Amino acid sequence: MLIKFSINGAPQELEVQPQTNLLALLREELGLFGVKHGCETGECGACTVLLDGEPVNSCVLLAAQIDGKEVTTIESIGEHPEPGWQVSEGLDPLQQAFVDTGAIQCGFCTPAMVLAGKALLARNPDPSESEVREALSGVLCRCTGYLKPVQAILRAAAIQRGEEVELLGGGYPLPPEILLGTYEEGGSELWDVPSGDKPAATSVLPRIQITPQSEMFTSVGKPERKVDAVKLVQGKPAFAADIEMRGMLVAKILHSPIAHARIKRIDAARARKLPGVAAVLTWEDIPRVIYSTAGQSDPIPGPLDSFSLDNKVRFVGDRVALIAAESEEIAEQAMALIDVEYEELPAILDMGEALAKDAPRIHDEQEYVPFADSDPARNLAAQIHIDIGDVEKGFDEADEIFEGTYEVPKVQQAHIEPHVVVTYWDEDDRLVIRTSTQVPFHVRRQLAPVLNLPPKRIRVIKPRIGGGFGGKQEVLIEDVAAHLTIATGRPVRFEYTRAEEFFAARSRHPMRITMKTGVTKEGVITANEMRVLSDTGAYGCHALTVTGNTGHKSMALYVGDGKYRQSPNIRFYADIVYTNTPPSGAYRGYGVPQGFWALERHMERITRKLGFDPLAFRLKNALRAGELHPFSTAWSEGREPRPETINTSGLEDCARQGAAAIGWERKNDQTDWKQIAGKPHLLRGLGVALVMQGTAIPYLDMGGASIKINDDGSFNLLVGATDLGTGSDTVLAQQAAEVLGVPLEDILVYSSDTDFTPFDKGAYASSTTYISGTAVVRAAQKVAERIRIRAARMLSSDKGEVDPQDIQLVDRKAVAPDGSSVSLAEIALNSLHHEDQEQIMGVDSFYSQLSPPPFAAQFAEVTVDTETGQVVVDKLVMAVDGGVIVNPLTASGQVEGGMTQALGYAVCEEMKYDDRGWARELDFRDYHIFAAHEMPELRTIFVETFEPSHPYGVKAVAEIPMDGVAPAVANAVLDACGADVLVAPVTPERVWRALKTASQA
Amino acid sequence: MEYLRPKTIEEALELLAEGIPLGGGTQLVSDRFDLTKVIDLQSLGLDQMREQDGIISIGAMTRLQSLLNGDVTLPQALRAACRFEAAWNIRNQATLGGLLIGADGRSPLLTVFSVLEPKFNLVPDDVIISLADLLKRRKSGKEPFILLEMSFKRPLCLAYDYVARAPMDTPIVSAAAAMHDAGEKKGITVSIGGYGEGPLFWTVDYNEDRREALLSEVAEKAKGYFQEAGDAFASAEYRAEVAGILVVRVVSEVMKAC
Repeated sequence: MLIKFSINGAPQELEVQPQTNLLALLREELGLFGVKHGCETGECGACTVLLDGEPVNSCVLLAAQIDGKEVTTIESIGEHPEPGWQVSEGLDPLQQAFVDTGAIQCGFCTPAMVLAGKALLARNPDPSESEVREALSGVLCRCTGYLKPVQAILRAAAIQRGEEVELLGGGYPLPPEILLGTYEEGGSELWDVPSGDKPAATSVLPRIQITPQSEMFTSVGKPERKVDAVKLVQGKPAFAADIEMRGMLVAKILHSPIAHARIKRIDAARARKLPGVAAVLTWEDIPRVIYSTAGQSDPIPGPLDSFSLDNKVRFVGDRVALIAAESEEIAEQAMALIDVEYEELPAILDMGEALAKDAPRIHDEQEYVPFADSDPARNLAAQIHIDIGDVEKGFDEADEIFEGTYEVPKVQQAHIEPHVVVTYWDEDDRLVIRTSTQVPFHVRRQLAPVLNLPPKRIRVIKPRIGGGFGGKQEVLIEDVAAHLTIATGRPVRFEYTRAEEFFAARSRHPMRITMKTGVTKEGVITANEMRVLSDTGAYGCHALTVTGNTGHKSMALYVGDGKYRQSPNIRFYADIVYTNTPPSGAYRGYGVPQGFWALERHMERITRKLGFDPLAFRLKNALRAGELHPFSTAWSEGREPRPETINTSGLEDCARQGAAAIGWERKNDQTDWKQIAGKPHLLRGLGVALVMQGTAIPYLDMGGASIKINDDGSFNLLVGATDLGTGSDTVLAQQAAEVLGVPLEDILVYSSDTDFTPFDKGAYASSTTYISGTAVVRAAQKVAERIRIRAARMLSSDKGEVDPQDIQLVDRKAVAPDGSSVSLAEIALNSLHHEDQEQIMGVDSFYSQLSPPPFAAQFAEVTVDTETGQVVVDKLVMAVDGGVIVNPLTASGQVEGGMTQALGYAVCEEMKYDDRGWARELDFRDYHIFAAHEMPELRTIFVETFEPSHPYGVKAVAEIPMDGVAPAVANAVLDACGADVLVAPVTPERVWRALKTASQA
Repeated sequence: MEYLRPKTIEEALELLAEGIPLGGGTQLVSDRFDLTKVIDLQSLGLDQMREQDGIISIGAMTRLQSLLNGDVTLPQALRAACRFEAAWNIRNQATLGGLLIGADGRSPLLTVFSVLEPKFNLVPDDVIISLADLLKRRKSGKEPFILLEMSFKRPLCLAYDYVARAPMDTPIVSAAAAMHDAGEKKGITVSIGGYGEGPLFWTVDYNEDRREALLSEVAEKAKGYFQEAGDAFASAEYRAEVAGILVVRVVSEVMKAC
């Protein structure tokens, strides 16, 4: 049918199929890739366009519905400010504000947010914060925590009204160093916490307690704009699916409707005959190669237990057949024509039943390759037994023993960009895999045997990633498209639906955790034990390492005091079992949030029972700088453990600063603050959790970097590291700029492509700023050395020789001690064209022998309805020691976004299955993630330490925000009303039941 | 699939036997590959709101956002429920009619509508029916119809409350109450939602002299209604208990406000 409409101000007439939705029309017919696919039901808002000026979701609009209307996409909002000789009006002020305030992380939802903001400001040039939040309510963001996007819109509005706003740009004013006192002495007097503070109305920068060393840096430590921000704010085709190829097929998977079954017969003949179907593959059609989908270094520290297709299905959502067709609609029709006869087998849906003697065996394939203690005959994917010190002796020495069992649910990463991949044969008959992955090099290595191709005939391109959070540390769907390209010879695009993300992707391991802790009457922990039952689901991807980190990070925090500091007594036992549910995997925090839920709930209960101050008790027993990481000699992700000493810890300062920011002294105010006048059923409370994480995997994680100079003195920085929205491209470039004495804009980052960029293990384990960053610094130092040698030669004269070692690189110049200088552009031209020509370049890599832990104190303020159990989280504070903060804007964005994800883990996110193994959550209605208009106040504080194992003293900040919010919220609920919730999330019913239990007690 | 956009009600009715009415698309479009014919109602002029003599009428194609900022200022509790129902983008698309046909018991708006004692004008029968009848009719699906308009008398007072896992999450339990002026007598209509195919609602006579007894009665009735209302989101025990609490709150609020 013919439709007439206006697109970005231009009239358009198009012939469309009636079933085409507006999203497909814009992306596939008009090439407007700024409109994104994040779901199919209009809940995420990534596909926002303006329809007659109002934001709507193009995925739930038929193209035919827009006949006669005006559609606006991000492509018509602003443009690059310097398009060569062409005159440009530059970015729209709103886009510029998004760039300036650090409101862009992965950038996948940014076009939608900008459009929503445009629509708001068009009708209301002076919106309040709540009006801005309402305007953003239709766009879900999993990265930012919404604070900076709200700030961006408020800022743009102020600028458009002609008001003066705080100067941003190259010279961001850093906040003053915070004066330190003890939290007992100072409380909030050290910190101005005005009542009714509107966070978005204040500075976009976090508070930082700066180390003396970082004051010397030029680029490191500065809140630079992200190097990819201008691209992303314009909605440029930067993501994996933003590509058109002639003859590209659409792939679909036929998923199992049964939790555990053998495929007795499968007949795809009718599907293959359907016009428009290019290929249907079943287990009978492809090689049977066992592998692990966990994207990890070689050898994979876990069992090999997966096939691309098998004659057995192990969960509802497991693969049965792969289809490639000319369109999505045909592919779906073909799925319905595949005839499958299943022999249903008994299923295990409760992890508590997996180890029973008569439990059905989930993995009985002959090809199964165990790792360490995995035992498929017992449904045991992995097992861990760690004893540090003499735990039983420690219990004997305790005055009191505390025991408790805690549970955490399965939760979803919920990155707004689904898993998506495009595959094709290139002109050299090499298979190109363009994929949204955190681990491009692992994809190539791990898929090679599966596809019967040597790695050298596979090229993996990682374009921009629309969020990952661990979900894309999985070689999850690349093989699907690759098999179909091999089968058809044609390009194939495969993209998960939102429902598939819930029932057929990976998620956080649910765990049942039992704690036992010995404590003296003086409040010293004498022994600490954690026993974990962890559910890996149908496959053992990340089974060992995720759960290992549950103990490795959380159980390392409290070593005890006095003699126990020297020789702590810690036990960590874990059984990681198979069940017939969707597999668990990597998710930001990687097992550690589970551990801290149990540990910090347990510590809170101990402090209350013994009458200790919650912070004092924790700090008294906490690990300190100079001490041995207690797990470093016991376990290391399946590799040989080696001793590691903690170089730095700002934990005490974090506790102090965080306490001041939350107003911790109000905790003891039983009347004025805790009770709300006129509403006796509402009570307020405060809670805390102290946490630690790691920075990279020692003796294993390696990243490389390559830098070369260009004619104008700019540099290409090639890294295999994968920026999944974290800002790692930016902070890597800042580290290069620091060494080379240039502004950030002179560092052109490319990441990543297995053909062109050096190896990097990928984005996980909070490693990129530290590992890849050190590689960048080393490569830059090599470049700097060559620059200095050439500069010395250029600056030497009859008056004397200049020693290269005396030359400083500053302000795009090489400067000799006498003040004479030569520009980097002159050096570049000299080296490339004029004299003793050479390509000034440097390549280096780094792996660490340490995993320096970041530490943090996380606080929550809540209001509890004691009649219904409803919890409203009013404020979250995180004070974190992540070493030197390379970029306060991107780092605070990480903390805000991480706290927001963790807030969902605390109160609402939970994946459940019915008695057939069918998922309850298939969309964002049932699986609720926080939106802009329901957020608590967020406050971020950085307490810098200088980690000596990194050139600029950095540690990590990406994962640790996930660790402490849930227990802090639950501890605040306990503080408010006495409800002791042991199972996360803290839902209204759980609080209600806990209140009943408390009242009965 | 065939897409049709009739210009008149009569034309739409002729197509009704073969196709399914399309409002904003927020519920139907995701299933578009399973549809054979849709009848887009956007050109029928059913997006008007008006208030006359205390009677508020809202066309079926009125966007949910218009309930917040349309020509008629609706009661605050109704506007609040509209915000809880959907975020801005969806409110700009979704229509009142689509919501009434597709919403379940978890819908905040449907829970509030149910206490407004609304009437619905349907064709082809050209009948005016109650919400209870509309819910029955949409469930049976036997007689296709087009919803033209919802109308209700502006209540004297209206209140809404809910319990959810997060402030803007879909409610686990919700309750609404409206006080109506019915000549010499006043009545309070109460509803409970958060579960099932639709909210449960009933009306009680209001007598100022027996406020406490009335509160006790509505609480017991709410608890009774939710005795079996258990699902994966909450147990029946919890829902029943909290439904009793919430109806007391909303009824107290309307009694106080009126």
